[in-house]
Amino acid sequence: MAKSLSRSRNRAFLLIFIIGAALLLFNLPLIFTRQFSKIKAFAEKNMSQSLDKRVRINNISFLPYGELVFHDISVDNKDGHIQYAYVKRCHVGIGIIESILTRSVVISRVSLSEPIFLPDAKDLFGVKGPLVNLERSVARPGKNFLLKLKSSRIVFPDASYVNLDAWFLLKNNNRVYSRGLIDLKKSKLNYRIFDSVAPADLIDILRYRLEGSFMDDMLFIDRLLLDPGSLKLEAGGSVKNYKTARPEVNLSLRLKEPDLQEKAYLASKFFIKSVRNFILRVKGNIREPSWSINLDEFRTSLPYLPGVLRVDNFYCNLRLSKNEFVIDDLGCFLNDFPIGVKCKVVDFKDPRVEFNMISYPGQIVSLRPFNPMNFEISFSGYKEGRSVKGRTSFQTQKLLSVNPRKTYNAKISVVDLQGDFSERVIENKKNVLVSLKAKDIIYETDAPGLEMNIGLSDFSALVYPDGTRLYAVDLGMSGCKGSLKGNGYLDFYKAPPKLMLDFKFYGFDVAELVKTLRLNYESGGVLSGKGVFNSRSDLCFSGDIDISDGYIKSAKLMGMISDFLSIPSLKEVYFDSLFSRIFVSRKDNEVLFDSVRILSKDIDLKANVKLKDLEKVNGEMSVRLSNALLKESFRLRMLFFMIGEQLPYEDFEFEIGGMVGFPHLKWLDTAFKESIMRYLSASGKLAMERSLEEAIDQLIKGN
Amino acid sequence: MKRKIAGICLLAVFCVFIFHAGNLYASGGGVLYAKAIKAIKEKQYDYAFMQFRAIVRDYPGTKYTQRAMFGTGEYFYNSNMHYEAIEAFSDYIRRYPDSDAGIFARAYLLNIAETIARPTEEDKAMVDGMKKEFFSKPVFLLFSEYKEFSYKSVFGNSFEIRYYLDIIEVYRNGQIFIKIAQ
Repeated sequence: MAKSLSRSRNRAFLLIFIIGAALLLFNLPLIFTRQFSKIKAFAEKNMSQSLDKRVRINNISFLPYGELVFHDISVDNKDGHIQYAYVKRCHVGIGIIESILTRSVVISRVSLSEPIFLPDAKDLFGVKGPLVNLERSVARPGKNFLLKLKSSRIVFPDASYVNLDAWFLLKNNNRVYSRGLIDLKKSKLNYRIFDSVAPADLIDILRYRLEGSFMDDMLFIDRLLLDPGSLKLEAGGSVKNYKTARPEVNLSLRLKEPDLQEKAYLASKFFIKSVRNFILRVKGNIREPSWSINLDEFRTSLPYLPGVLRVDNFYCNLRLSKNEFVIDDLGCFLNDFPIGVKCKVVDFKDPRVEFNMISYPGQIVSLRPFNPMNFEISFSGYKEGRSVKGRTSFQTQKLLSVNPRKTYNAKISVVDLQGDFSERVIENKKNVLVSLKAKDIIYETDAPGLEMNIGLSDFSALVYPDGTRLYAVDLGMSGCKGSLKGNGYLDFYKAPPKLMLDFKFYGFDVAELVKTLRLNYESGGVLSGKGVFNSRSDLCFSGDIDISDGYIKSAKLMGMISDFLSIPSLKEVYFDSLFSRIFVSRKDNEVLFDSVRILSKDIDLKANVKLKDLEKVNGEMSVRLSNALLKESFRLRMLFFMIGEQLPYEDFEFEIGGMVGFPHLKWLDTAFKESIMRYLSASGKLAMERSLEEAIDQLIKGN
Repeated sequence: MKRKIAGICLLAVFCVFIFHAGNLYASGGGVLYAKAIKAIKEKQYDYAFMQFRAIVRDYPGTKYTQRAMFGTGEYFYNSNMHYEAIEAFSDYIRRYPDSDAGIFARAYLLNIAETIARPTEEDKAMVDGMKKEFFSKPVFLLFSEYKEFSYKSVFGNSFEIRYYLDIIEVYRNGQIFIKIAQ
């Protein structure tokens, strides 16, 4: 009985306790409501002191689950003329149990709803920033703290703004987590970088996720994931002295295998076709940081160079200061060729870019019958306003295999090439005008028999846009007392680029040219002619040459004919004119000298000669000599006498074979030859051949 | 008595001449060369090769050395020892660049080079270079279609080279050995 009585008493106590606790819980807001005016005054006073601004709160309410709501908070200067910020609602989560136990107000979370930070609000984020102070002063150490920003807006002086929805979780172990969404649509950033085009396609919304930790003066970013539109960025690093106005940063931003749409604005703005890895590192004071950029398999299309350029392993080290922007080192593989650049912008107000060095070892377009040649170009100069000027030396080298066991060097060098690149607008399109001038172009080789040292001077080329994809070229060159002028066009859309030139040359001193070319014969006269060059056509060159008032001495071919006819005068041929049409075929690697004609009072020579691989000769030649010249030969006179013929006779015709420098000549059948063969006995023919061989041997040895 | 002394002196001079003549002949490698020729006639090619090697080794610079060196190269070629043949003929061309047999030594080298089963780019360039060397002689064809030069080697092989306008043909024992088009 007694047991049942005590049991029912316990139940009654439990019921009373529950009812009491419920009453206490439901009445707490009422207790606080009584204190609302006190809380409002307390909050206004504390926040005003903290911000050193006047803070006004319109109303305060309390939600039953322990959340205090401040309505219409405005921050302005003390006389109320300048408004800094406005928050429609500020939800402050109160830890009720902790507050009861500690007898102080413990805030576990803060949520700002529709806050607006006006242009002058930057003062709020100084050392006495409200968020920092709020967290430090009222949040209980050892507990997590959550700050929410809902539909917040930061307004800039030019009325542009950024919308921000985010939460920040500050954990008790100094770890910070944040995730949010930044709407940059009308931000300063968008205006600054993408000023000319509506940025709708660019960064609509920037989502981010941050994991980091902070110390007294250091903020470590373990991972920052950014998702602006179709791009995904990953960042990490640290910010030192982040509370000060000059924080030191050491950040690394990585763009990893982005799925770039060709129409994506960011890609088109920076001429990016694709990029596998993009790494940006920023180091140093935030106002004068050093930058370094690394790009892997970056493909781009530049407006001045139509077509796609493939850029691999791009790296770039930059330094930015108040007045100076320096690219310490920029390097990449441009279409498989390494390129290196060093330059700096001296003054931002009056931009003048100094190029210390651009080096580009590359491969020149293959222009058969010449093999592809490697070249290295280094450039130094400056860019001022809209034009680039500079000097460069250009060198190309090729190995010649003349002998099966030996190779020799051949080198083309352009010493002191001066370039002028200026921008001009034609039909509302930006275009580049390129002017090049070279003082000396030298071709040298150490191969025996091919010793050359050609020096041409005053080369100039003017390349300027002519249509959407064609570039006009004006060419000029002078040297050896002559000059060359031409014009044509370049088409970069083709791979390799198409170069077409139409040129004329006149007044070249042949004696000087032969001396320069170190040819094995002497020649003189005045050379003029014309030609058309097409880098992509099978017939890449066609033209003609004309030498007037010239001579040829010690030429092996003429020497052999001279020995055959026993006319020593033929070893030195003086002529009024020498004409030849020239065709160079890429396909067959052939040079054809067509309709060659040497005319003088004593000699009329006609020939068609084909050079294969610049060394094998094939062709035919016919020579008609004057009576005076024929009479010079005792052997000929005897032969004519013996076969009963009279002078003048017919042309001497030959077929040519063999190699350059070692021709094979065959005397073609004519009536005169048949008469001689009928007349001469076998031993006579042999004797004549032997005497000719001996003469040729002497000629070779003499040379 | 005087006659006896004169006879003895004469005999002594004769003996000295006889003995030293043998040495003089031998010092030029003539004996070895004669032995080699005899061996070739008896078809003892290995023995002939040994003699040629001895001449090249022991009597360099004599009138027999040039033919002996060519013979050595030919022996290697006939024995399918191509590597050694290349060495021997290359050595021959280096030492006697203007000799009559030089062009035929080159013909052997070219013949061997063309037998390479899978030639590399370097090999092809080497063959092209060797072909060019055949054309490094000006020729004037007056009354015939080709100009001909011949050579007979110590092993009894007869060689002919015919220079046409744009082709060179080399014959060995009447059979076409190599044909070089321009």
